[in-house]
Amino acid sequence: MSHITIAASERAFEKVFTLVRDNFSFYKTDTKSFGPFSATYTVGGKLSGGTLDLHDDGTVEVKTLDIVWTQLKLKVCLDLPGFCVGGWCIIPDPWNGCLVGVPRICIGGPICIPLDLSGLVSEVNSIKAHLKPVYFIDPARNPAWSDLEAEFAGKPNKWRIFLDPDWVSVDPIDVPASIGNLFENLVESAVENMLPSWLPGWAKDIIMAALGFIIDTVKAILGIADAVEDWLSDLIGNQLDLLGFLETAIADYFAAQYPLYEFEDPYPVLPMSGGLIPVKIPIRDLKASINSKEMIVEANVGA
Amino acid sequence: MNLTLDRNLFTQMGLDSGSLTMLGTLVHSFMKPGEYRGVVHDGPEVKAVFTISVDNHSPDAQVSIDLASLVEGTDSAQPDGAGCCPGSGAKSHEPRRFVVNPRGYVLFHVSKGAGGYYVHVRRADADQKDMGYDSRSMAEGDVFTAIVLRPGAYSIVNRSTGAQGELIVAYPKRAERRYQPPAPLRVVCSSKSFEPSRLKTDPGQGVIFECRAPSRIQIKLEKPDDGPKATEPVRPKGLLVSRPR
Repeated sequence: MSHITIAASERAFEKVFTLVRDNFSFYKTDTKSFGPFSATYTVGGKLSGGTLDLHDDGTVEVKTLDIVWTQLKLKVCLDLPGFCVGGWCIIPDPWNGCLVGVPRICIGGPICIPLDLSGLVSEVNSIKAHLKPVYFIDPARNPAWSDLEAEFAGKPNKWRIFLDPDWVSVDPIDVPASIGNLFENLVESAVENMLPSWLPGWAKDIIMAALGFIIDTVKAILGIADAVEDWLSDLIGNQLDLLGFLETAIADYFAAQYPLYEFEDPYPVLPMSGGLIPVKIPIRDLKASINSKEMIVEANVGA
Repeated sequence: MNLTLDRNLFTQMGLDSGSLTMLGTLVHSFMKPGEYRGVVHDGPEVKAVFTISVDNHSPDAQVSIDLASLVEGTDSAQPDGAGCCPGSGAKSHEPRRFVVNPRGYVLFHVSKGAGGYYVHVRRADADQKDMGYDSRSMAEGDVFTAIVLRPGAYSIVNRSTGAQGELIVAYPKRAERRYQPPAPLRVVCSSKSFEPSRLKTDPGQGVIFECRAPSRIQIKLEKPDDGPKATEPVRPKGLLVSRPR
């Protein structure tokens, strides 16, 4: 039988989990090239919600945990091939084609389509984890220090109990269908921005009408075969591998960065008082387990 | 590829057959063989000179004369790069020479710049009383082609006959299909009227005026059409929530 046993009810465990969850945040920015186009993204976010299930097999299951993308900015850049509009024949020439035609106007070059999907909420489908005690020695601790000296220096050894995920399953980001229209407007704006600012609105409308198929062209370059929102979801989640990044970030965070509990070792029983040094007992063989009702931490008092 | 766009295409409203700009073209036939001497005018100022040889033996049924290039002295068709006019940057004082069959025609156009030119062409051996051909007054058989881009309502006036007409240029509609202007409209300029006198075109659609009487066609913007108000792309409001499918 262990010398020390500590139990935390499911409700207490949930409160601890909430504290850990709320401390999680992620941020990443990068650019990736896909040949015909490149995508630059800046993402950031936090976790919210979620329900906990404690199981008798020693595992914890977290479900419907929201990922709030406080920042999800994407810029897709591509090289628009040169297009010429105009050149329509007004007076046909019976000898060699066309005698009089409208002057040709050529347009083309790099364009960027900025998309701001900040505020989007996606979901962690489930996290299945078990408790993992880890003995922590502060890297800044001088190896020659005694435990007492380490405590005075604020660098005592610790037992830490992490929620170590066996798996993290993040759902694909379901981009709302309304983004399709927004995307097409942004493409047209990007092309219009290539036109000189002095050009009157009616002239831009003529050129844009003559280009007509520009949206289809951009979609073809980007490889959008079906709905824009599906393509975006695949781009963000798979091609830019942000789902993989998130799964890794969440797993690493729970497994190694932010413990559910931590105990000093040796554990202070009586604090320093009246010139007397604190009374501390060494903790050994710490084990953490879980059942459907509570979390249990057991340990022995060592030499 | 960079944008190649001449500002004059979109800033010059209206056309005048007696003051050619980029969107107007004039076709004339010199039916009598012989040597002709032409002058390009910008108002009272002489900008360039050229010669036209109307030759029965010429295989050329047409010749296009770019007035802008003549004025700049950079006519690419010039074999030795020679220009036409003193003070115009020309490499030679020899006027540019064009050759055409008397059954053919000469087309005057302006390829770039503000334009505003007219031409005066006389036979080299003409006597003093022969005033020659002045493009400010088109002759019977001439053709003036106008391309009106700016949407709106225009008045059409034949300054030589007083005939009047009107032209409505529709506002372009953005569609999935690439816009292609319809075939040009043809208008007969008789001694009293335009036929038809009411025209409706799409942007970039040509209007071909066939002169059956001395004509000077002027097209003036009366009421611009700026189309529907532009709508800015709007980001969907509210929280974008995604859920598993």
